[in-house]
Amino acid sequence: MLSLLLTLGLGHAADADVGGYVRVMTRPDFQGGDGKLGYWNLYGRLLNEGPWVALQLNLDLLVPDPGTDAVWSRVVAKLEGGSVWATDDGNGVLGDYRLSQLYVEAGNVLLPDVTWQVGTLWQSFGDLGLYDMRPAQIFFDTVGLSGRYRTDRAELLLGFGDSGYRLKGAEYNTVFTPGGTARVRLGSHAELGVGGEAFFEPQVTGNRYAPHSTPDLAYEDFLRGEMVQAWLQDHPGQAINFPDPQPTSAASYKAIAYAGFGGLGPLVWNNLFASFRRLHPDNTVTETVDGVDYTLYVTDLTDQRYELLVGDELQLRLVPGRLDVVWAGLFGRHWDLDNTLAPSDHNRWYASTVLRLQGYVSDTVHLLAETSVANEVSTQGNAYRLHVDSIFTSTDGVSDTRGLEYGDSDTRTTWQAKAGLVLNPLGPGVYVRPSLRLLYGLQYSTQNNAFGNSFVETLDQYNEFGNVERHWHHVLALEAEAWF
Amino acid sequence: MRWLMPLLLVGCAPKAPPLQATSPLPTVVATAAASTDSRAITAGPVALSDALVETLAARNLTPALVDAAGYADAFAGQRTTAPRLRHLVTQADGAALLVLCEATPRFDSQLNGRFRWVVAVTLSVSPTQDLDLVSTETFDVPVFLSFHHEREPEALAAAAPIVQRHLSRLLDGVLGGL
Repeated sequence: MLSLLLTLGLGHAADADVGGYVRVMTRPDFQGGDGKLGYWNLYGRLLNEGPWVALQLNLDLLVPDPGTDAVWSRVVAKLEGGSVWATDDGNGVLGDYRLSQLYVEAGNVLLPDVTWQVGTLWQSFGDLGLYDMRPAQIFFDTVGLSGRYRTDRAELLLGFGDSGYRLKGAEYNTVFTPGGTARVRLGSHAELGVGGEAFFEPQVTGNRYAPHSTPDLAYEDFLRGEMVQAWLQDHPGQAINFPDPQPTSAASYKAIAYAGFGGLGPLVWNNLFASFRRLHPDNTVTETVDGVDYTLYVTDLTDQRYELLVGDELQLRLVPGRLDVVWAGLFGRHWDLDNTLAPSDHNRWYASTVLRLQGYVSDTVHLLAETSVANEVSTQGNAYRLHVDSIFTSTDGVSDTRGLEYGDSDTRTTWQAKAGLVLNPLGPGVYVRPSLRLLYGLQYSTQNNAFGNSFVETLDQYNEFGNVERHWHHVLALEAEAWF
Repeated sequence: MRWLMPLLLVGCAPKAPPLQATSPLPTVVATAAASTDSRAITAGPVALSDALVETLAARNLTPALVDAAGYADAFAGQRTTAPRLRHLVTQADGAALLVLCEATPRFDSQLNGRFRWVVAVTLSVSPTQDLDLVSTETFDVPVFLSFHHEREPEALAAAAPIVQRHLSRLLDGVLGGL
């Protein structure tokens, strides 16, 4: 696709430009891990993320003429993925990459100072750099049309489109998605923004991929994958009368907010992002009983999942040219009002804070130190295994082979520290790239073996590999990161 | 920490001095920043002009920044380099060299957590006595800003280190021929 667009551009003497991002590393792990210090970037993205490559082609079809209302247009295509030869188990296979963005922009068509965009519509208020997270983003799932009006002080974006393929994949059904954002700059030291999007999936009788609900299903049976079995036990010999799915509609939404301020003394900038969303419901699960596959429609069992996410990041220039500090915090709360029985990613809260210091020995030689503390709490029973023999215990040390809990604690607490040498050819700055880093990372987690691994967890007497109790984890990292 | 010392020493190693003028040469410097949103021409940010001045001073040149009020209106009507250089000559006040940095920053996209801008730069160095001997480089500098509120001035400031490098290369050619 990129080659095609480049060829198109050269043929019409248009301006083409390739930008992108690369992150590549090796992290020898002598404790049997997969090269990441912990499970995810709640503990800070550093040493907890794998490789990533993004290539973005920008092709000007009509170059903007500065200061005029002349029409301009361009094509943007972004290819990205998380695998690089010899750095991960994918070994750079192209199946790990996707064309994640493709859109055409046109400016000054119909309305002056308005930019129209057709294609993928993703928009974000900004980034929590230490977490590599973007809580305040919309249209991540949407293909459609947007119009953006921008002045020096304000920006308004309105759009609509379809999120069906992103949300439902091969079980596509149209998910109409309108939304928008508004952002205003207050003086030279503050900004505010709000936005949101809604997803509506209409009832379509006769379309098996449209939302349906199979009646008379119990949530506990859904969790165990025993809905059909339970129904057949209640209705012996009546398999032919298994209830038909009933068509319905589905809706979900997301609201986002942003506040930024800075440029005051050592405070470079502070970004506060928040989002609240109702997740779009699932459509089907499949159960097999007596060799027969049953497709069950679970819209009404999965339509009350909510997520709140709040994140803040503060950048300080403590000693100009010598020491910069970035401090971030994140809080998340997930509810699943359908599930009142079992722990899951939809019933939990988590909070963490990350502090990074970067000192400048010279323009290009820097020292980096970072630490983080995180707490993850399941609000619906145990979800974490704290010890090597946790498999034998549940609440109060009682084994329950039919229990819906997992492990022996509802809380996982994680502490990480990272330190090392950074070479920055372009000079000082926590986020100045490219960066070449030699880092050592240390993690303590209350959970046993809290990092990606291939350990055998069974306590079966025939386990040939044995088990190990381990709460400390060390990783050495050699990595490079660049935007271009 | 002893293992760090060799790396730190390498990082602090002295660099070879740049090619220098044999005697101090008065040099006029102007930066002209255009915007895709406006026809107005403004002076570039201090970080950009400071970077140019620093590069010139390191080569035994005596840089003097021209006040943007003296060329902003004229440049708004002159969209190409040649007439702009001719206009600057009228304000050279006996200087031997002209340095003109014309830059147009343009927001590109949000890219993996950063705001990508592309700064289109035309950098010219010319003897004031003969503008036909002008040396010019035209290049694009992609820069990556952390925040949405950072706009054209911040993009120009972020491009300064790359502009410095191009200026150094141009000066090598110009000073070598003097």
